[in-house]
Amino acid sequence: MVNARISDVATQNSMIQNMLTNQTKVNSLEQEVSSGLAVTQPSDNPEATVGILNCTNALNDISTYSTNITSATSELNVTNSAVSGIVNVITQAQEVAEQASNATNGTTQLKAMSDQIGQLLSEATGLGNTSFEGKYVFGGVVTGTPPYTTGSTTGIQYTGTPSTDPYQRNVQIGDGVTATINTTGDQLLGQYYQTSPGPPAVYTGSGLIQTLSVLQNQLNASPPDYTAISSSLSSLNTNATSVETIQANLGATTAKLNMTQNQLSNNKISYTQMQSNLQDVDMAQAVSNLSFQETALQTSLEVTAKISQLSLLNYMSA
Amino acid sequence: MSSSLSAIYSAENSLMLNQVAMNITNDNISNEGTKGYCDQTVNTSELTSLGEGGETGTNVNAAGSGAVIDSISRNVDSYLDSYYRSQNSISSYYSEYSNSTSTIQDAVNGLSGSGLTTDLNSFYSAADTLSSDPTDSTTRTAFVQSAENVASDFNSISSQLSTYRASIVGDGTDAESLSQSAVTQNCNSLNTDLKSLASLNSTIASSSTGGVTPNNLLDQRDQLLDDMSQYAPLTVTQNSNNTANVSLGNVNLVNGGTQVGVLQTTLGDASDPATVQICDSNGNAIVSNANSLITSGKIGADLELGGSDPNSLSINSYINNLNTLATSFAQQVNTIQEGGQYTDNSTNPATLSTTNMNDIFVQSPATQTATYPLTAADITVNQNVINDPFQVAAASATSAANATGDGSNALLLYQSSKTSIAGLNNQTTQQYMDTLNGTIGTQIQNITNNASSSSTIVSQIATQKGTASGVNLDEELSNLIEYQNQYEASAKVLNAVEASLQALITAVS
Repeated sequence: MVNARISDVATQNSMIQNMLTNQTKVNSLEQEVSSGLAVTQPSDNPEATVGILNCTNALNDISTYSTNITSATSELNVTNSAVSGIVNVITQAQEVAEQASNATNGTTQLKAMSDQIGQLLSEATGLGNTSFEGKYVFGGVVTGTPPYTTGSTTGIQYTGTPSTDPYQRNVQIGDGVTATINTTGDQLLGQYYQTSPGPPAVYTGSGLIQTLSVLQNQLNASPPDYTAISSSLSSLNTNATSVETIQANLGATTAKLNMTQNQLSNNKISYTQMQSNLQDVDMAQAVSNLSFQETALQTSLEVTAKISQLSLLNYMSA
Repeated sequence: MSSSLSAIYSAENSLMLNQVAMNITNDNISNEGTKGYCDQTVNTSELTSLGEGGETGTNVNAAGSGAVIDSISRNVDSYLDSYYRSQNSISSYYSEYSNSTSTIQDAVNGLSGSGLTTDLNSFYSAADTLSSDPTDSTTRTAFVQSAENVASDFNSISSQLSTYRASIVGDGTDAESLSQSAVTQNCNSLNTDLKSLASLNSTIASSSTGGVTPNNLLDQRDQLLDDMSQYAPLTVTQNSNNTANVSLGNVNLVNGGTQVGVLQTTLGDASDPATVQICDSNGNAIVSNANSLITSGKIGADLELGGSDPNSLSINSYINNLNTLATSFAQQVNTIQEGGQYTDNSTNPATLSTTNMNDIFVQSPATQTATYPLTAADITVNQNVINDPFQVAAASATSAANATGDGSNALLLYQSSKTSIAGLNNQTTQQYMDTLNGTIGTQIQNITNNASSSSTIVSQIATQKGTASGVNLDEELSNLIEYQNQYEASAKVLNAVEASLQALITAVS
């Protein structure tokens, strides 16, 4: 080895440089360990940045879908219990109709039964006006006003979105996947209302409400037409079938939402894991790097302190 | 035959020589920490006296003539000096650049958990919430608030970047902002150095006559040249009289004792707000646009950062990217808005309507409909929409007038977060921001790496330079011992000669 001449300035500069390098490294490792994040700005790791941001976007979507599903499920629960109520109404109406079709009943009894049907009718209408968080669930996209209006002569009219129009309220539950969470009153309950005051007044309608309204009128009729009364039984059966179909569809939607929710929870875990792998510090490694760098810094400090003292001056007598 | 007295002269000569050598050692020791000081060495040679008959050579007559100082030389390595200057220019370029990058990066950083990326996501989430609850005024207010957040993010990033750009190269229109910009300050500093060099050159030229080198002035000159190299890639040529000429490209800036070129900044255009000119001493332009000559150094970094070169990290390119994003985003949102129906709250019950439809994002000052392109600086939420959040068209155009619960158009708005836009290179708004983050990260990482490697190179060269030109105390001390001993020995010789002469005189008398 050639003995090169080394100036004091050069030695000092390189010692300072080394100390600064070690200090910078210790500082950045300390930051990593204390924040727990290996990537805090894009330039730390551009490739990981894009990956982290993708995960963030995916997690945002998952959280949006998950919130949607939670609130949709709540609404569906309210809807479901209303529909169960309607099934209940139909069962009771069937019992009344069964009894009424028996020709032994007198006018007084039939009047009582008519009142009973009237009760059931208003119960059904009430269920049709079920609301969830201020929204009327059976009004289609008209959620601000009760879908059913009842008048003593005008009958029971559905004012929500008709099922022939776009009535669906959809929520996003996945990338490109939406779920319809509502059904309309006219599908579920129908209506029965006056189209012309007459006389004779003309009424039109459909569904359970029509069946019950007609039955109520027949029970009030004098003399009673028992054949007509018993024919309402078959109408009630038809109504029951269509309500049960709707119930089944709602059940299927709820099941689909639950399944999607589980899937989302799984996705959330894997995306969170992926993001953590990209962004978070490997603590064991970071801490061991830190202690290594601290040792290096300490060494350079000691060496600097020692070398700076070495001088021929120390060995010269004055 | 030499005279007996000549021994006295040669001993005296030696005493003086060692005194000079000790003075130089003293100079070296006291200037050990002086910046730019070059270690000096005393070069001596054997004194040859004229032989008889005018012949030179070693003969018995010449013996005992002693030593003479040939020169006092500076230990410089001119190759290292020029290498240092060229690398210093590159290193200054990157360090000026990397100082600026954090401002740009902070402005668009999507990892910070706040800012544009986050607020864009919140905006789309708010649209989704709106779709499920369009009759709720809280939901609508929250949606409009999230739109305002996006707009104000665009505004603040844009103004942050524009202000920063103006601080580097001026705003392109105002002479005052140009004169306070970094590029002008750096040009002025370089001019000061050039002026000092010119006057130093003339002092050096006048004191270099007669073969004497003014070492301390040369130290100052080299120091100036080193300092200058941080501003621009300058070429230094050394003249025989120890003066140095400086040129930029092939344009002379300093020629001997006169500064022939002065750097001046003038207003440029929107894409290059500052133009550096080289003028003569009367202010007439020699080179009307020297920007392309200044490829490194601080001035080079300033011009690059403030310019619009698409291949480098320039502030303007990020402002342009944000403008593109603002326009495409606003256009996408507004198109969906225009395709739906808003809720007219003036009727009772409220009804859906398309009359006097308002755009959501418009230019500031507010107008009813937007004119494209928008910029990140002027995008704002329509004041009409802020005043009445029910102006947001959440319902589809096909819904009946009473269908205020229809949120299908708001759902379309949410779904548009997944729609790629041709103007954004067929990316969605979120992807565009992500790509921007990735690009800026790569560029900054590159610059930071270059900055740290070039500064390592510079400090290595500085160490090498220091090794050659710096003072080593141990060396000086051992030289001192040597000179001291020589001095003592010469004094002894003088003593001996005197004693022998004394003896001769005593014997004769």
